Amino acid sequence: MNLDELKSAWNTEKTDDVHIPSRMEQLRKANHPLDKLKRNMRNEWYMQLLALLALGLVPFFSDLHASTYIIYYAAYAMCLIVSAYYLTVFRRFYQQVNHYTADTKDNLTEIYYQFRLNMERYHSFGFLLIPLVLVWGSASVYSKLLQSGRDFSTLTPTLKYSLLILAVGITALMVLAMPAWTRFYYGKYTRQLKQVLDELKEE
Amino acid sequence: MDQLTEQEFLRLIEKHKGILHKVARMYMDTPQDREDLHQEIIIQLWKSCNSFKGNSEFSSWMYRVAINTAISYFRKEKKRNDTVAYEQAGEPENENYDPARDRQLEIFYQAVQQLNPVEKALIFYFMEGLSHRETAAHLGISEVNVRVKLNRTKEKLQLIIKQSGYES
Repeated sequence: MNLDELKSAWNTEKTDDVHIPSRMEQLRKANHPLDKLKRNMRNEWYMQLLALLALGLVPFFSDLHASTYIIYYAAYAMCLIVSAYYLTVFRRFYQQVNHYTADTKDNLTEIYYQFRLNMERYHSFGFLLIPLVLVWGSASVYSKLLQSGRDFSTLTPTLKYSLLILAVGITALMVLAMPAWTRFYYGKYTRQLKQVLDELKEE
Repeated sequence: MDQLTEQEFLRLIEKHKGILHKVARMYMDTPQDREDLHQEIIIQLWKSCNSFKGNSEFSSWMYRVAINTAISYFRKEKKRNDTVAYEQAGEPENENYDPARDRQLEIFYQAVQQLNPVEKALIFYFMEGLSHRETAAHLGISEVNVRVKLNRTKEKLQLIIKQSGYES
């Protein structure tokens, strides 16, 4: 097939299948993967904010002993301050992720690395919760001990090691769960972008 | 140049809707997917409208946004039983219908479906008559790279067409 000769047919092809609306509002909402991801991120942002506020109420809805509040809120305050930074950058990220007008390689490279960076930020944000969860767990165990008139010094060595292993287990689970979660939600799209970027490499 | 009004924008899109038609035919293999892509490109063009400064041709700016949107508009992988085989393809209703020419174009579009997104973009710009330099500027790669990749893609496309049983 001679592609140069085909150009005349290409140039005179009918375009009846394209329907241009009379108003933009007649179109459905953007359905591009990037727009979907931005919508997901916006929803996640609100959920993260709600979850963070809910964590502040934990002492009132759990059986934590009043004497442990100070420890819990010290950890919570640290978590809150660092979260404020993350939530700000997440918000800025999904508001700024823009696309399409640069040349293809620049455009895809920017989207790809912005996503990779944001995935790493998600990991860090998740890891930030680990100390709070451990403090919460410890305060909970300590409260239970106090209720039965004991403290940590009365624990048997076996129980102490069990608690230590549990803490390590929870930490390991969270460290593994965060990357798995970002891979599940964002991994496929970034892999596809990477594949196209590889195709654009110089030969 | 001032920001385009909605009506000016839609008039320009109407004038250049051939770009939407061709990009969608190259990147999507079913009418439903093509219609989705038309809409998506129009939305992205409208969202990116403030980046059109009027220094370049509207069509040139539209090429870039349309191709970037199509390249990164990854569909969910799904088994397709709604694609049309060459032999089954219906003839379009067209007063000036030229069976040989339209059959060639139909076979061309079917073969293009087997190319990767970057190869499709290269063939699209080639068919639109863009020079290697212009294609390189749109894709963000060197002219040499465009030449190498385009030649390779044309060979690949010819092979696909040949394997489909088409004889010209």
